[in-house]
Amino acid sequence: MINKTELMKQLRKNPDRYWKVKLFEKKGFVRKQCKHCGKFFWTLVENQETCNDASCKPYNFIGKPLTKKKLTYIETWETIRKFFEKNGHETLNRYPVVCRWFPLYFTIAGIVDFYRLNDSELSFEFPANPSIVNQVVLRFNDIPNVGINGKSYSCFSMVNQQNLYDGKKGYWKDKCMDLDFELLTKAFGIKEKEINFIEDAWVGPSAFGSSLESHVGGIELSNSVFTEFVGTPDNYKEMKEKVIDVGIGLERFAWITQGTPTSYDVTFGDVMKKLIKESGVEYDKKFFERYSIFSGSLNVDEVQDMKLARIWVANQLKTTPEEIENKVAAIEALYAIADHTKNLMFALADGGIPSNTGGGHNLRVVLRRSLSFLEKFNWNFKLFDAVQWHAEFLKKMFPEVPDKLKEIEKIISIEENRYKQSKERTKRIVETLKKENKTLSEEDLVKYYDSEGIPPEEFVEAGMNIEIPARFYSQVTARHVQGKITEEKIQFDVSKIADTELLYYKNAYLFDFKAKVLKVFPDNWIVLDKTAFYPLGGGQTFDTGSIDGIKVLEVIRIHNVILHKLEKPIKEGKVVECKIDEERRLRIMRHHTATHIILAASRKVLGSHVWQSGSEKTEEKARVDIAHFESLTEKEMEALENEANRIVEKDLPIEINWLPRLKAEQKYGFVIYQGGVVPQKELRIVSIGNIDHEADGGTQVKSTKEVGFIKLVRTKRIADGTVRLEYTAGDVAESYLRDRERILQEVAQKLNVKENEVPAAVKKLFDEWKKKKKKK
Amino acid sequence: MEKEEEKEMITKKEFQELKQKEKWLKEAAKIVSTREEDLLKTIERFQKD
Repeated sequence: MINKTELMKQLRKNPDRYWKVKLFEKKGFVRKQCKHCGKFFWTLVENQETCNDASCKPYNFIGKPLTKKKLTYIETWETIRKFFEKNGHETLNRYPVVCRWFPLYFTIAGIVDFYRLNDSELSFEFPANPSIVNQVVLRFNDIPNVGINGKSYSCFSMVNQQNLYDGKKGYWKDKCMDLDFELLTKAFGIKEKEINFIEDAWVGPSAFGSSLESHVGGIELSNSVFTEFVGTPDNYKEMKEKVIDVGIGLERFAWITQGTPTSYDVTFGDVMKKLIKESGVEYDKKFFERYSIFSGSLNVDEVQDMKLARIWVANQLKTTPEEIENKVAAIEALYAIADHTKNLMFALADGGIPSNTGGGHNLRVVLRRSLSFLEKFNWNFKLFDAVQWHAEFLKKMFPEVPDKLKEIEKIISIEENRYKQSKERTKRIVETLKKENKTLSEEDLVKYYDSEGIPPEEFVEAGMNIEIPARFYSQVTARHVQGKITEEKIQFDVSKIADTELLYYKNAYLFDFKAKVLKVFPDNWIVLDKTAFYPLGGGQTFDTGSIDGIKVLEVIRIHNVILHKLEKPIKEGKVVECKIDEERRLRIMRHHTATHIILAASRKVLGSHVWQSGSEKTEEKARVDIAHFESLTEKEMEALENEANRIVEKDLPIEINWLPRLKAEQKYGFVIYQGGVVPQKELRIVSIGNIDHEADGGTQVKSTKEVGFIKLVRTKRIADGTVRLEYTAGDVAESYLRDRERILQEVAQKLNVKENEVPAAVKKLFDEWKKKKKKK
Repeated sequence: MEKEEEKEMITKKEFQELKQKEKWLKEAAKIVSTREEDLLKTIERFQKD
């Protein structure tokens, strides 16, 4: 990872190259260094000494808006949208907050919408140029500050302005800053002298560049990033297509137009009013107006001890920390609930599932934190009430969300029950700890949170005398922020070998072919010039068969080269006869297509949140692990199997098309990434009629009828938020059922009853046996 | 050389009948809390006792 401090040192050697734009010359901005934080900034005020960041200057807009017109949250978005559309930008629909196209659990910034991987290198793919998007983003690293400092969120709108510049098409820094200055001064009517631009840099995954933050009235409103290098500061190259990436804080723009005590008051609008009404909390607006001028500096990242920080604010306001606690604690909790329920609404609407692993863990953190506030203050409203209020409040901006409310309600209700059960468990743990006269360290708290899902507040409530670390939630969520990119283990050097011609992609029914042995590696691993042997990958097992009569034991792929492990040695350069075990391959293919069918059926029966988290397709059976919040009932299993077989009977064609990634995403949506992120520009899309489209590398049959009937053998909740479905298809399904039939016949014979009488006869025998046992 | 095998599929009626039989078996196995594969042995044990 590139070190930002080092990068800033290098960029500062040439500030004119990296930060000075024509706007500064035209308007007479001067470069100064903040006497408080040491950062460099550009201002129109000759004698200005501080940079205008919240930590260097208290807010000056509370009660005194910086714009002539007060705008609601939605009007603020409309103002930004109209400004950019007038200036030639296309407005894109928001992307899901659950990130399916890049190895992150959530969309953590507007620009992430356009991140893609080509192998391991970052690339940007924009559906329009230039464009803007009102992107809802989720971040879980600032949870302790949410509700406290008036501006931190776990869920917020980052309006992103993006543009690709290749020297001819698009625009670069000068025009970008002209536009952003005009947005501030003309669209919003902010006085020019109120605006400072602070020099900064942006460091992303294998790309970086300088940036200019726009600060007004003590708050950063936007950050204009100029991504122009790939690599590291020690080893980089200038990008052919440079990227303008401006993150505009919608909440903050709305805030400075209203001058409300916190940004939450304007962002949550009606939701906040309803929360205050339902909770019965008294809101002292005058006190909050005074308090919030200083609360912006209450940043748990920088303020190690919140108690000391509260004392500092109390001194500033000439009051006591106790008064501050009394007047603000309940309101802060309501602000946090407003934020967390909005977060959950978008995450669950977009397919997120609370769990104890990965991104689901972070959703559970905000959910349980909200529930613990409800309990602490004895409030009677439900979290789902707040979700509904958000959906109503935001429906003009995000009309797609209300359709998902039913699913969201169900998931929240299940999680509320789990929370109650976890509290019971906590009581028992605390009783044991007290008996043993033990206490809990910070490490123990994290362990209990991660393994049992118990928030530290529960231990306090249950009577443990512990201090909850201020950064507790940041620490536990930080463990679950980023997805993992699996590194391929390279066992053989194939760099000098030509790519293998993949015959199985040309014809999945080719079982006999001739090929030339290009290379022989130790342990009888060989490379052919072409092959129809499918290697292990994408959950599909490898093919077996023979090469020149020698058994093929294993087939793997390294980059674009296929390696076959043989039972005996073979000579390099020889032309060989290859034969694939046809029966086996056909069964694997049927199981592969059955997996796509099962997924489509699951989405229909269980909901659109269903997502594949793993799969295996073998000759004997197939399984798919899906994201789902509870075990399946027998009724759901029956419905799922029936739906899958309806698809089979429809005899839908299986079509395979290679498409550019962006086109595939636009045509089918991110549902194509069931198997995870695909780091390549061209995607192989497997379509089953109009019901399922997936980026897929496996072999498939030609139509759904060819799969044969699908039998769901068993389902199991294998982890929190993950259900495993096991099934068989075609002749394997028939064999499985014939085997069950045989057992039933044997039992019926043994009991001397008809097959349909077996359950009653078994019950009778069992009852008699129990009676006898009792007598004995 | 290309091959494609046309498998004869069981009819929907046959499939439904087999599924019904599987249900009876499952139901019976559930009564005595055993795996379907072990049902016969369990019955034999009960009869022996």
